[in-house]
Amino acid sequence: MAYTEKELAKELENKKYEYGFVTDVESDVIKKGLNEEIVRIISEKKNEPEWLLEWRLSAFRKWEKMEEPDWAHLKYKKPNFQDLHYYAAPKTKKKLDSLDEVDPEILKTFERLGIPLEEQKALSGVAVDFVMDSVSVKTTFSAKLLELGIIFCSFSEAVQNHPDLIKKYLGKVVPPTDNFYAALNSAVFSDGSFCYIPKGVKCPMELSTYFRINEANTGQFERTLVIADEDSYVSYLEGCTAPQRDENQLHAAVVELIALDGASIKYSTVQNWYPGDENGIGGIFNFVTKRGLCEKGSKISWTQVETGSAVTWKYPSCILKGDNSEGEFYSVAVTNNYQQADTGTKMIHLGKNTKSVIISKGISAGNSSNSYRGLVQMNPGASNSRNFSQCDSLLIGDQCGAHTFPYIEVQNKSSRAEHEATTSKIGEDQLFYCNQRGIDTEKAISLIVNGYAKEVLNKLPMEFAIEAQKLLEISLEGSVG
Amino acid sequence: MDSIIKIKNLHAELSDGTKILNGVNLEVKPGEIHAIMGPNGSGKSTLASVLAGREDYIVTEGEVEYNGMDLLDLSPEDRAREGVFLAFQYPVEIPGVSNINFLKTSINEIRAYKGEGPISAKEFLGMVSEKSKLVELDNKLKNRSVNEGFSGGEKKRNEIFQMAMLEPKLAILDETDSGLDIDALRIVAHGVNTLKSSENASIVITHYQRLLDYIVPDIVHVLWNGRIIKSGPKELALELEDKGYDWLKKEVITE
Amino acid sequence: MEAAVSEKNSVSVFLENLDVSENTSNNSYVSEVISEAKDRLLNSKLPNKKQESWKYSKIAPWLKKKYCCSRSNEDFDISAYASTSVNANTLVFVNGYYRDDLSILRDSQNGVIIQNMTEAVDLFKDDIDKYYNKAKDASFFADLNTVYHTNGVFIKVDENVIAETTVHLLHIQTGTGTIAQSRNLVILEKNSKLDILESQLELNASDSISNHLSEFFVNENALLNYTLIQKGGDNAAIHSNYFIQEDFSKLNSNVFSLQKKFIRNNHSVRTVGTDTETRLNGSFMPGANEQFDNRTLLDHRNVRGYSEEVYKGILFEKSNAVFYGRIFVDQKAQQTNAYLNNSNILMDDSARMHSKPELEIYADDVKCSHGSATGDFDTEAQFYLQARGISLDSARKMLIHAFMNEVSGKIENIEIRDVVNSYMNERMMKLDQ
Repeated sequence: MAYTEKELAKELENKKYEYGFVTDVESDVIKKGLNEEIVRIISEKKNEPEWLLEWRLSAFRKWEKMEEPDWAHLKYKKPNFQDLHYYAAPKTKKKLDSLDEVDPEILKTFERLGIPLEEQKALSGVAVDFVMDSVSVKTTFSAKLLELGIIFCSFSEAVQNHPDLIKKYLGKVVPPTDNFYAALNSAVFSDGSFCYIPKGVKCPMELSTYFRINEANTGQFERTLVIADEDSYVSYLEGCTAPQRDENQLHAAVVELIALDGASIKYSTVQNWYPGDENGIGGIFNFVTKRGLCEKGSKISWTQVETGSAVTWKYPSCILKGDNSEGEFYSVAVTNNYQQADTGTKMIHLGKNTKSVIISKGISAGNSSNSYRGLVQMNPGASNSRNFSQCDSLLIGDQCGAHTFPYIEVQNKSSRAEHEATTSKIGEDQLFYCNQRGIDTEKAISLIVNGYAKEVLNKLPMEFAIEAQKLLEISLEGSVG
Repeated sequence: MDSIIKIKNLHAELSDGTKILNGVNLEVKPGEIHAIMGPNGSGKSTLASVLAGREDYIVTEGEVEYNGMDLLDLSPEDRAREGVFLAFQYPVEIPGVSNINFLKTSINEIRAYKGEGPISAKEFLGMVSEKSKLVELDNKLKNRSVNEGFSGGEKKRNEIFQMAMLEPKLAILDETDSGLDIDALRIVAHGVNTLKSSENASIVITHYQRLLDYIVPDIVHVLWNGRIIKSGPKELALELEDKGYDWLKKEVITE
Repeated sequence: MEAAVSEKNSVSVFLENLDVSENTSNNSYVSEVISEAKDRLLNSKLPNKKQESWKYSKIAPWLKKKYCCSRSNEDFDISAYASTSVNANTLVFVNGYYRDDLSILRDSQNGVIIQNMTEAVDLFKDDIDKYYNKAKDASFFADLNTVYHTNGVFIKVDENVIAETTVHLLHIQTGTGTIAQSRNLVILEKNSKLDILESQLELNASDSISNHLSEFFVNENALLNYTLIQKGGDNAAIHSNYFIQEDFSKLNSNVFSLQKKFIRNNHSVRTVGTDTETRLNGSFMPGANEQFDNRTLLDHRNVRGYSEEVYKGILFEKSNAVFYGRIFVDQKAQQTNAYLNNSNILMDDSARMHSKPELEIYADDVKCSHGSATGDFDTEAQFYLQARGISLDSARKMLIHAFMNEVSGKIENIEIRDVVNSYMNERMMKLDQ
């Protein structure tokens, strides 16, 4: 007999997180808590210039006076910010020149994740800059990229080697005081990635970073800065998986993108942080600020597949400052068990003839809550601008919630903002049709969900799309029957 | 020769207790085409759904032997894997899932069930191009989402295309002729006739006689009030076309 | 902490500036409701921009003024108001006080009770205990109304009775610095039907505010048709309607916000019964320096509810409008079918539109959708008309009419539809020159 949906939902609950294991690497951990001294230690450990320390300290002082926001459709126990470690780096004795020198434990971890670095390097031509906890371990392909003038390195290296670029652009899109988590990140960010594409250069390969949280009770504060100079192009991939932990771990990253005149940035994310167990214990708190600035005729495209984290608070946004610039947001967010997600985007239209597209596909199962929250703002100067938003929700089981909270503000008459949203469930007739063709219910659901999310998955680079499909399947396995 | 399917005294009802099938008996042997006719509401589509395993109906009595197995004991997907194919009266749309991907998944699931490895891309594509010619299915339709935006005729042709790909042992065609123009009807019938062999069998459910001009049945059954009240050679269909069903109903009542 | 104290003071200051006496009642339930509302009021904050529900509408200036409640005995010719042309039992309220001398009660019908609220509290104690205050929420203006309303009407249609004559509530506001607050209770018993027209008009009023509140109970199989027309000068209107629907009941609500300095409508529907049908429609046409804020909530609490909501706005020069439409589907409300659409046309770059359609869904077997479109009107259609020899100006007018008439076209009662259309045309002519 075919599964009933309830049976499916139950089975889904029991699906275990596959990537939950701890890498045994000796870590360099600073004691718990946050104060000016900790900020100074972090800056000193990273051998940072005085101006950057001051920048961190001013962010810290502002953060102290800020309150954690509570407007999102999320219920969770607020983290105790004094009970966290703000710096943890794998203890590597020296700089590494080849993969052979990387701790074999770490390499093994990546193999279990199905992302063998060497294979990636050899087969897919992807330059990987992966971040184990906070410090960049290894960057490959740097030399090749350097020939084109492309800079792709860890944030700390960029601070040492390209201080002018950092000083010019850091915090320009996401000011240190933008919000509570951005301020926190600005004060204590440990490492991250930096990328600069020179004028007129089309980056020949996908740039890629893998993030993992490893050290228990370690705050993770990534900082990414991507600058695409005039008429350049870059596709940047960010993927995350994290080991299983019982305490909630905090992730408060900041990503800043800058697309100068005529440039184009494609930023893709697959997020699979540990979502907590089927009873809602553990899991990552993911509070991320991602924002891009578009100058004249430029384009920024965000694509995200979000399946992990216990709590997600994330709104990759575009500030369409330059005339004729374009912003895109394609998102699939899956929540299961007790996961909560409040995610969406902001499209701020400032320049003339600016365009934006929002395609959001939410899938909720178990006891989860999945909200889309998006702002489309047509400012007075943004004449002849266009926005189209499509936000769909799919419900699996009757214990979950799916919500849509769009904010549409139009302040000039020649612009147009259109928004559509639907909520539905997987039809019994669709499942039966698949069953009748020999496809079992679980497979049928995966097929239907992938079809539902196709518009977004299609936007991902090939190798990522496959991984994302696999993730959707894993996240929803058992959820339907 | 052994039968492909043997339905004995089958009773089925809806969850609210409405009785639809009231003792159906039917035996189909390899190589045969059986037509089931009857007025609206006589239980024709219900019979098809019960055989395919749709959950909306509860079997209260009777048994169905299929290829030596208890069919009612199998899940819908296992029935399909064992070779029962239902051409839906209203084929379902599945947005975002391409026809081709859908079929490939289906074929591989069936093969896995039989302990065979997945079909090679070459063999699969060869099959697609061969079988799609059979029902003159537009190439574009193969890459579109399953049944999404298809016309009524295209959906029905797509059903027969899937049938050709899956090579079932027992095909149940539920009102496949409804809503088809004469050209489409001919194409569909051609597909069904070509697929006929001494190994398989078909049950053709229809409201009108005209389909049976193209798919010639060995036996025609009349279903009324959830029971088969008359069976006969193909000429019975013509008689029904002429006289309607009322004379039969009277016959049953006076019995 | 300091901020909180000063906010609290601001409520006290507002109430001190309010020259209106508090309500009392002999009915113990009602007097308890009043005292609870008073307690909440004193512990609340004045609506302000920091609250999500008041983010886009500037209510603050209106809460800094002094208001009094002035009973007026002025004689007017109410036939000057077009809405009185509708064949109806017209109940006239001036500044929130019922005026028997101006009201026109054309027909009385067995089973249709229309009673002054003050008297109804005594005469219909059972109904009051059962229904009064049971639909409204605990927001600032609702509590303010509970404690300080002056008067209102009690309407009850008995089981199986079809009310043949429309009931028209005509609110007229007059004088300087006045506040008008009526409190109404409408009960439709099983299988009954009622048409209500409510119109808010003004006569030489300035610096004034109204805060009318009505509760509607639509019981099994009953049908309520409701129309609201908001029109008049330079004053503010807060208007709250709370509808409760029982099994198989139907509600059609049509709201036309045509002119006022400030409008805030809080209209909410809670479907507690199964198989309900709800249609909420609205048109708004703010002009220069006007701000209209329509806030709706469709709260689906039971199975097989159907709802359809269409709100359309045309925003003229320097106007500001907000539409907030929330659809909530409870976990229990399976097989809900809910649809919401908000479209807006901006006639000028200085206009501002904020649209917030929301879906909050906890049941899986539902079909819910919303759409919102804001922008210039259809230039293709305009060009098509021009290509057929129609002047740009006429083409625009035709298209605007077509856009707005979609909502008025939903009014079943032809007389009411005609009145609404004539008010809308008049409004359009003034604004679109």
